[in-house]
Amino acid sequence: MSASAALAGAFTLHLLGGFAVSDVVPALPPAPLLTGEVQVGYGLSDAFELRARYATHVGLHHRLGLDLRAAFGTGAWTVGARLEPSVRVGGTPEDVAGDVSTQAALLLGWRDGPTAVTAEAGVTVQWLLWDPAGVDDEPYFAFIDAAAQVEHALPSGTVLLGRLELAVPRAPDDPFAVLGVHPRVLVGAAWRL
Amino acid sequence: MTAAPFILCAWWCASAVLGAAPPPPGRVAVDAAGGMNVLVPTVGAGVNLGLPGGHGAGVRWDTHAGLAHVFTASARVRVAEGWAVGVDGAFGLFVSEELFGVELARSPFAHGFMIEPVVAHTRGRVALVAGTTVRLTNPGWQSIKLAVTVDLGPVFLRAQALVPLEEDTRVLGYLPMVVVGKTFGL
Repeated sequence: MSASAALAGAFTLHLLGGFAVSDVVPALPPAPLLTGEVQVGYGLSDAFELRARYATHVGLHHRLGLDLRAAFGTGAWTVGARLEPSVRVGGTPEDVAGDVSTQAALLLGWRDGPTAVTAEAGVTVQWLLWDPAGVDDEPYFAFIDAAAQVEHALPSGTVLLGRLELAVPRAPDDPFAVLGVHPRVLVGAAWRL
Repeated sequence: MTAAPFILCAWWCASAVLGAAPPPPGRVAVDAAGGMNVLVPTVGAGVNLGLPGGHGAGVRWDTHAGLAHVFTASARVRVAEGWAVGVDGAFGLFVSEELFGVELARSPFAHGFMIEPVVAHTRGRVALVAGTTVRLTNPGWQSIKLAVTVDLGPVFLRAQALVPLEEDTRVLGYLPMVVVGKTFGL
């Protein structure tokens, strides 16, 4: 369900939760932050899938996106691509911050029976940033993204998921990065609705 | 976002923990759970006693990184098949007055006595509990909560979302807590 698109006309539900490691409290070692996401996918055709995605970090920052996926291939190997424009908002009512971004990535998948592995590489461009200090509408090449996902389909049809994401900020002074990256580990499951 | 709001948010969750529907009459259920509360590790344990007439009573202790402790007494009554209502009374305290510049002793979170009416619904392996917390010490309507508990067989998984209501600590969203635990029937 990652490198491969959903079946045409089929809805899928993905629920994932885990931790994003961040240097959020400088006086402490990097802390694991609760993170999670919900994806609802719809198979536009056998090769294209559209997913609506909501992701959160500690319930305070929220990202809503539309993830268009394409996947091609036969047999064990699949190649694909995804494009996700999204909006992030969070903070407090007096301290609202957010961005408008697009993530684009290439996917390479390999499947052996019920188990599949997908590697993903891409970039994120921020088109608009806002915080209490103002709005920055200068497009910025913000992150180089890498991810790996392992899936295992159970006989019941439920698909178990494990995913590791590494976002490398291009800004050299990103205060929240840990060893120069934003790591995120998720586990979860997917179901056909 | 600076560290202080995160830490204050973490303490917010250190209020009474949402309970579950009462166990059968005469049965004692002991549970222990651990996980993450926003930024900090959390552990807790409780004992619930089933009483005649669909009533139940329990006590529990929860701590958040060992710095905040909450002691809770709870009462539940089954009102229909799969439904229960109840009330928790809790007392929370900090073992430190300050952490990274945040004056915990003056924090409105987990500070003093609280009362929390709840409604619980169980359907199959899933239990939903909704409640709201009113602080009696320095009175204020503190928060509302929604918790989902899933019975995974050997363990249970509970996810809680807490929405702060007071103006000083309101956020655009909710504060999550996730724990994994086990219940033992005695």
